[in-house]
Amino acid sequence: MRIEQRGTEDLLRSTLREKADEAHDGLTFADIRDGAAAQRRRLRQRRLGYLAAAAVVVVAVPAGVYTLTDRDTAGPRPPTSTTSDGPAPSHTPSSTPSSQGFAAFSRGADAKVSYVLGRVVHLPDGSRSTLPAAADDVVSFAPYHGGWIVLDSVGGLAEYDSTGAPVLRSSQGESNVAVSSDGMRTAFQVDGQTRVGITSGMGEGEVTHPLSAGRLVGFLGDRLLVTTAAGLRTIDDAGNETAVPGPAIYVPTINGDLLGGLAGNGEGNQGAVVDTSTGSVLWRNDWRPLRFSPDGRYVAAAPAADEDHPTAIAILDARTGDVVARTGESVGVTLGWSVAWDQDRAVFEAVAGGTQHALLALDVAGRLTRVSDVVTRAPDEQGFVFPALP
Amino acid sequence: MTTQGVRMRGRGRVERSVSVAVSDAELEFADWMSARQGALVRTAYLLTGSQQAAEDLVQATLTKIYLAWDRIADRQHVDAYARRALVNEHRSTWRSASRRPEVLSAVLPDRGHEQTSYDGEREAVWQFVQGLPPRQRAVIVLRYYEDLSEAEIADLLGISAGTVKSQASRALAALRERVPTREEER
Repeated sequence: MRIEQRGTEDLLRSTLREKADEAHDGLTFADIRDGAAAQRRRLRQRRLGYLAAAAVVVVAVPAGVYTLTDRDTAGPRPPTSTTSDGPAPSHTPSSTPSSQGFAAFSRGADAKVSYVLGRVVHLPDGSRSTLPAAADDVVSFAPYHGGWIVLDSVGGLAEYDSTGAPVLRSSQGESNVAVSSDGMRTAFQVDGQTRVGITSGMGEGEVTHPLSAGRLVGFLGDRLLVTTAAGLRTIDDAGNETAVPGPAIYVPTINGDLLGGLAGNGEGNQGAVVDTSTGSVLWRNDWRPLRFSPDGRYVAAAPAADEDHPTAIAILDARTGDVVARTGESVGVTLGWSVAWDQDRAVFEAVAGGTQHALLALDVAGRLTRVSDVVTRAPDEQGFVFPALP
Repeated sequence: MTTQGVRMRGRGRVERSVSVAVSDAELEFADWMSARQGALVRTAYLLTGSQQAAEDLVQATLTKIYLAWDRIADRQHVDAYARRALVNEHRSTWRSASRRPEVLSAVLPDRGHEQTSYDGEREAVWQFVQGLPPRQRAVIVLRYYEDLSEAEIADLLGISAGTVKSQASRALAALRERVPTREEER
């Protein structure tokens, strides 16, 4: 038996070596350099999508304020669901030029959310802070021990102290950063470990866990939530792992015991919210949860079938999946997947013409407004970047 | 930053005859790429089963490393970083191809009843490997081509060492049934 196994292993080894030699390399340095430039552009574009706004609403309400009607539906609906109030006027979105951009949106109060624009961190109270010059191409960030954890677009992570001096840089593998629901703790994954510490202030140590097999995605209560090949797991401060009850959820958002995200069923994506205290599925429909509101009452969502970019944003009742408010048909601005909450407003980035960036907000009453100034960014620069959120 | 024709010294097979600005770090990357591309392509070929897919995978991997080159402070670890990036890239490819929970295969793919004469033995083995589910194939390639330990494979694939062991064991058992070796036939 032992001989049999050895023979099979040897055969496998020699076959793989022989077959591997059939491969040939043909890439040039220029291929890689050019590809890297293209990837930076794609990474940026991937975060954006075309904004939907209902056709009839464009003319039925003052410019840029969209009254939404799908309050009792569970899933993205075609725009015809909002066009029953008489014939469409001649200046419907089909004739609305995409260059209209942000002119279509009324200006609401500035969003009280944190974000990074360039290297400047904007905080909800209006104050600002500047990340170190070395913090480039930021795609996520979080406060940590009085300084910052910064994640770049290729998965690299750096920690800076309150003076901007570098404390740590990842050297291998992918990294991630997450903040607890109460905002008090930050965790980050770097070089095969997760480290957990307080978000602000000094004088309290870190807890470090090995995380060689899995990816940090957030906190579930007091425990770290990680994805592994066997599904979602939580890790407590002692390093004990526990399986999360309920079906597999991908790209999750968390609030308390609620876990929402993609729930693939093999026949197309669906979204779902699971109560992890019981493992029960609260709802499952065609909306993919993106971010719970801080009070856990709502969840911002996008159509689950969307891949490159969301074609709409909706606010759902977090416990039932009913649509409370949603955007409609495209008016030619693009929007990103990332959502932050400002009380009962879901805030997200939109881009017009490739270089004009602004934050939009959809509130539970269905109003869609612009909640930041419009800023111009070069095509290869990140726009508004929200911090790591629960 | 230096301006040089990037045909110099054959670095990274940089064959463009035009002169472009190349930094010292890029020269260093090109040197490393020249030395390691072949090995990466061979592993990628075994993982993907086709030359084109292997090239795409290696290009994506090298691009990622190029973008991260400045922050890979420890050059001694860059080969391990590259292997991890290659496997991660491959994982993301197979996962995006089917966004559903991965299920470890307890049942190996039915390749029919191929006649496996000794002359076609290696081809039969290769057909068998290509028919494995992506992760199980990755386990086999990393174990029997890259000669990584079960723990190293578990780390790379984000699965437990026990799963690595069971996946390799199942594959070997099925392979023994499908392709008897010369020793067994004697």
